[in-house]
Amino acid sequence: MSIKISDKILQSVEKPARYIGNEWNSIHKDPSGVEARFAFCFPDVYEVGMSHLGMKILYHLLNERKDTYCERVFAPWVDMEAKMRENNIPLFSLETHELVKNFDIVGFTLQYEMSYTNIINMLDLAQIPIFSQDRTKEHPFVCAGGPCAYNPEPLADFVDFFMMGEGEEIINEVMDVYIDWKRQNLPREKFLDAISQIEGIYVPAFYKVEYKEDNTILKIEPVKEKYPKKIKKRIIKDLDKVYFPEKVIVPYMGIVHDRIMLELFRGCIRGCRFCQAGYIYRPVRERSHERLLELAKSLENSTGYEEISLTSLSTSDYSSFKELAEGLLVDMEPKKVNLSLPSLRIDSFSLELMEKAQKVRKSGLTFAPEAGSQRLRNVINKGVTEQDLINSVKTAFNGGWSSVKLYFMIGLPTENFDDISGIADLGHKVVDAYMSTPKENRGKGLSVVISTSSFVPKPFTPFQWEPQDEMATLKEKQKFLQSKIKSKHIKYNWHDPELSFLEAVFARGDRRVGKVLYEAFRKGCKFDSWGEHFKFDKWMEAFAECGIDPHFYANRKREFEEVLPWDHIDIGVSKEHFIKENKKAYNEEVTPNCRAKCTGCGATVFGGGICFD
Amino acid sequence: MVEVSALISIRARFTRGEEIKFISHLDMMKMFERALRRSGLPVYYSQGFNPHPQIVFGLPLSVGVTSEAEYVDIVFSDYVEPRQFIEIMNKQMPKGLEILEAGIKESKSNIMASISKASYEVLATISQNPCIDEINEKIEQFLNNSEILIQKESKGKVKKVNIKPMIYKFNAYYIDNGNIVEHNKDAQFSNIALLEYINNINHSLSLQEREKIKGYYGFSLLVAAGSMANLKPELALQAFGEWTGFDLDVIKIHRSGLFIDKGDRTLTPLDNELLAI
Repeated sequence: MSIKISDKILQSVEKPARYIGNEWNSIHKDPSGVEARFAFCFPDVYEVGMSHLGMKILYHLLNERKDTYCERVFAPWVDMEAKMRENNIPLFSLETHELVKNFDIVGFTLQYEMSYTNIINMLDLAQIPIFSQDRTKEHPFVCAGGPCAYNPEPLADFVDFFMMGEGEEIINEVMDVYIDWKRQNLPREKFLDAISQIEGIYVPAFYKVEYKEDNTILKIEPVKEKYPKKIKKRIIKDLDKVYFPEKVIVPYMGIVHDRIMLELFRGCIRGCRFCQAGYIYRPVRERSHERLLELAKSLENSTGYEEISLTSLSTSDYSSFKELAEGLLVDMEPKKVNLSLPSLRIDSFSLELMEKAQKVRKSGLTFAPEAGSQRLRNVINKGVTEQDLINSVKTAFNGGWSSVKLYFMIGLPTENFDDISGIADLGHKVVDAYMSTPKENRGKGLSVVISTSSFVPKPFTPFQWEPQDEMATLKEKQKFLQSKIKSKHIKYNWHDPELSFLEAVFARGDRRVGKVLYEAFRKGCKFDSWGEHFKFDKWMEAFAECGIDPHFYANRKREFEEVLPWDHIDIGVSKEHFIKENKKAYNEEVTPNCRAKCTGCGATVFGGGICFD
Repeated sequence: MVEVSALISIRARFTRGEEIKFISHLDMMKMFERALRRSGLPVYYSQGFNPHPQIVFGLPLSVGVTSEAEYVDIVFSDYVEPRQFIEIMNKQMPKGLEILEAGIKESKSNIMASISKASYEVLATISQNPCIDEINEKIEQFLNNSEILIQKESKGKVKKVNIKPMIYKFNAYYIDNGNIVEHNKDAQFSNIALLEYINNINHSLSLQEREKIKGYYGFSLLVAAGSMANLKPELALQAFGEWTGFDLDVIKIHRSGLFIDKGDRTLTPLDNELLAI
């Protein structure tokens, strides 16, 4: 049954375009002509979810299938949710306004930990039982994937199955099994049983966790022999051959990334020790620039977008960057399509490119030294020196730029107050570099913004065992840094330590923290990553009521021997490698990047990518 | 340098249907720009650092209002045949937006600056359920007032505005059970938009809600529009409701026409007289 939202409701909410669908390139099928309906759910508002490349890819990929109709679902903003609850309107899809509870499979993408309460809230709004164990044959299957799925445990009680790794192949395998299962009209568990045999599928109900007296994990084991002991992530070996949509939805309203996103490669050669993305997407696999230029043309013709951006974890590392950028500039000139460049390592080529690409906007150069001293940058394996940064900003200032953003992390392992002073010093040196640039070259009105986020230790990184600084310590460090900044040209921004603390709990939480998520949801927590809706006191109440100590997860140093909640997940990179990297961090030793030298992390098992180039 | 003489301007009329009535004016402009880029038509881009297509829209439409009389002027760098323009662009338009007619504009007439009047069809309920003759009688008396004052908020200040000179035509008809009883010949096409709408809401209302509504009232208005004086139809109806004591609830607004005054005549923006030099 599909529903019609009355004009009265739509008139009364902010940005009604979030709820109407029918955008250009959205897919319309006759639902009665398909065998499976998939609700692709993004646990945040429309304009955030619509900016997500993974959703665009999987939406169009699933809709290539004649037997399947994939529709989109976003979290309604609080005003709309209130109207929906008031009028007893369950959560619905955008394309056909079908109730989500009537779909076959409901899939969530997990992009950040602080979206977890929105998942629970969306299930509740959809009138689907929140806990996996309460779902019956009348209910859809609830699945999840995406970067946060690599530690699936905090959501284990809510999600029927997880897809580990890149979704392009595995999702089709799941649909094949599903349609087969549906035709045979078998019991619910038979489906989960069948997909548990697909590589990369994790059915949490089929695994049992036992704990020690000290609350650490004793073991995580499959309940039956036939379920895999380790669930290995899936990757796409050849990005030139894998499906990429030639058309994407063009929204009616402004979204966060309102442009064509051209995905250059997956993975990152760098191996920064705090960065989860740098490990979970290994090995690095590039798309050829020929294929990218082809894709850019077809995407441009099908969308009419005025801007193309290049996406990857580190675009300067793309090996045919020059060919690609120059090709795009030539191809896109006649239609006046802008090329939007991410923060690049600045040299004379990239500067010239930026001049050409962004003719008027000389604002916002972004650098991420991440740490304030060379010592600490060696600890985190961020291969950037102070000289690199100063040379880059000098070049940029000489080219007329006058606004620089610098990103740092505080609370990194081994950090001391000298490292933090170093952040302010770097800021001052950037100001000096501007002042020593001839007036006729530099742009007017220098602005240097220093932003610090707080270090959140993540699974599948060399820092996965590290404690997060206590909130009080983080605040003290922020204050200290602020006191060290002496220039009126520098503005300092920082993140809420409270939010980083919760991220640390749920990034490395085990199954037991799931009930805290549920309690927090019951107390009204949702949209936690939206400052105005973040209710830290409610979260702390939830922890207390569940008898769970959040500090045990966030601030405790873990031993290498400890069984980690995600030890049954296999991303290819070995634990030995992470231990080796952790030790090197404490010795302030850097590790060369994948292109310079293979360090044997283990990602070669996938038989593709940079390991074999 | 592009030779200015090679440029050609097209003026087009298009609809904004139910499907896209919640799109803001700004987003609609962006949507048009993207559709034009997809179309492959020789759009003219301004020279300079930040090239932009030259697209000018008529009077902005409030969010939630449908229309069959939206206008746009677009500049091309090469000749485009109007019929071909309609055909090509309609392939690039989302549901609810359709280009109905187009013409080459040789004059310097700027659509945004020259609009002076707009006509609307408004659908409303009145809880007292007066008969249609009574309403039309009241409208006549209402318009006989020497002035009709409403409170208008602009830039945070509330001021009193006399809207009487901004109302050129105002009459009502009764829609019972989906049929127009008092037929209004001026707005036949628009009536269809209203009828379809009633049909749609009848489907989405609960039985209880439907029973409460005995019938619908249609109002046809011709009011001042544009940069000199602009009256939103809901304000005229609100003033009428307050003056009569009718509990009047506006359900839907549909724009049926935009007009340009030339001398003492009122023309549609695609009138040959306005397009020619």
